Amino acid sequence: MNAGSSGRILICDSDKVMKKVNRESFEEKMKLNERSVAHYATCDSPPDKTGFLFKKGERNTAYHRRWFVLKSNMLFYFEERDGREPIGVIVLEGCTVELCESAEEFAFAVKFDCAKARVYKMAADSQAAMESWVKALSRASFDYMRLVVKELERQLEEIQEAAGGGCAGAGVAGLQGRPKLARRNYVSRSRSGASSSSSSSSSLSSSCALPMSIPSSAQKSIKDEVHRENGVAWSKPPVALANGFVEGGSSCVAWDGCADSGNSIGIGDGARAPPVPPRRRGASLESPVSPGTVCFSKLHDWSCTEHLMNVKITNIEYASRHISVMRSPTCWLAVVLRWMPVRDNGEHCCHFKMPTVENQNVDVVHMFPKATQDKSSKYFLAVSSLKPANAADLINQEIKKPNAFSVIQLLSSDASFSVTLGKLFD
Amino acid sequence: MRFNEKELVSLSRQPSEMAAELGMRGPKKGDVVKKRLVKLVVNFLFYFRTDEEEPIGALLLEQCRVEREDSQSFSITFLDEAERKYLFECDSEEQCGEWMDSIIKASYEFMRKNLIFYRTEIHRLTGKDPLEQYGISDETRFQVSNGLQLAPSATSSL
Repeated sequence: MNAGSSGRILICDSDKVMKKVNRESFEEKMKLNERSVAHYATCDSPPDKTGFLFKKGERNTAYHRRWFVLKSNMLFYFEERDGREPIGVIVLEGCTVELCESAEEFAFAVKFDCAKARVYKMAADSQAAMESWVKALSRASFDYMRLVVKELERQLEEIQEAAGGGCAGAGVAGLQGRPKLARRNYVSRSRSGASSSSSSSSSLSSSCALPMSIPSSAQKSIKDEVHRENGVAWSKPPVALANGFVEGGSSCVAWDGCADSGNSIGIGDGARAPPVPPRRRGASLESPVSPGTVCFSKLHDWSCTEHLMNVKITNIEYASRHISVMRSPTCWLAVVLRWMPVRDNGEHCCHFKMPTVENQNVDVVHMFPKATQDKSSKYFLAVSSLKPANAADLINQEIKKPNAFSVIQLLSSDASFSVTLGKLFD
Repeated sequence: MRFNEKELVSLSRQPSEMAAELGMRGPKKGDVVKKRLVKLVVNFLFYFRTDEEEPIGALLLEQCRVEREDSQSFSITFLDEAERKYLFECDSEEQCGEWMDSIIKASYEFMRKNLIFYRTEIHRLTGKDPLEQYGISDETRFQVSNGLQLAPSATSSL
């Protein structure tokens, strides 16, 4: 038997065929086109990120300094910067990247959501490097790229259709691209006299900003606040989702009697509902939906079975609310949001506080409602990031942006609700 | 080269639109066509013995060429080893075409090119960068110039 450098042993089985097997289990190890994969690591195509990181060894648990090269969804590591061949690769699908508690400074971990999955612990040289890597790795997955591509594809179709002077008015409203927000949605029933300011501006105040790299102390508090139990349905029907990710028809649930369909935020070209784009020929194989109309409404149909976590938040106080959301196993980050008290004029707004660090990059959450049969709603979260220095800037920024984020419903003080995290693609 | 096998096996179990039993022949001399369950998940092509849960192997679909071999079969070759072909035999010409198309589109680099195209086009038509609202304009992987950003946050940690 020869011991392979990667825990593999060559054995000769009864058919006198040499097979590589796992050292531990003696099961046949999965094959991979390793030579080509290694070639991909070192070929001309520009990497997405490179740098030295310390990586905790598998058997030898010391941290070893390695040269890392991130290309698409593959994280290669070399013994040295000039290494001709990588020692190894970590395929970054179905993983989350988190800060971690460690004796090592600037440590983070890549965690996978499968049975007996390994946790890859790494450490950077500085806070900035660590944050940069965490961000880069969180966005490395194929699914994430696909998400962004589909979004841009949708936007381009919309623009092209609008430019083409297509059908006005008719067509299913709000199926894509038109955020549907109404300021009034923020008013809780228990508060009369809430003002309804102009619909176009403030809905975005409900958007959520999330710190991307949550310092571990904040992470602990998130965990304290959140119970992973079966979620309780929304006590009130939620408002239709801001960024147009609304299912046809039924999902536009009004609240407080506020009609939903009219309140679209113009994106400069008027609030005309876009015509439904034709289903693309050769629908994308990557997801079971075609881009355009059906795409986001189908989001709701994807039952994110093992990836769903129901998060129940209880005891929400009206004046100051936390909505804590757990990190899902699929790279969507958790957030702590803090609602500010209602202002004197009855307006509600939400402010987002970064847990500890100033000038931290903030992540903004996209929330997509999932209309369920009982009209309660669960949200899928996605994450992107902004760079405002503080919460106030963030809110202003969001108000300016169309297609931004959705409302989190304000609830009365004794209500509880659940937020479901899901992976957007199967 | 080490790779995270368990996680790849787990990935291979994800539902996929493109999964079928095809005849598959490896690139080595003397390899014969065998019936395999071939499944496309993200940018990997997994292949299983029929009715087995764990894949025999996977092919990363980057830097590869997909070619029609005859009316019902296609091959995948990797650019670093042009002489080694993986052959796939389908049941019909149509199926063959579908698989070829899917595999070509399954590459991350292909998606990236699309993204850059859309981004540039949207910018051309509207004057705005569509990624800005999501705050990911500076993300290296979305750059039109297709090179490492020189902004401090994106460069190496050196």
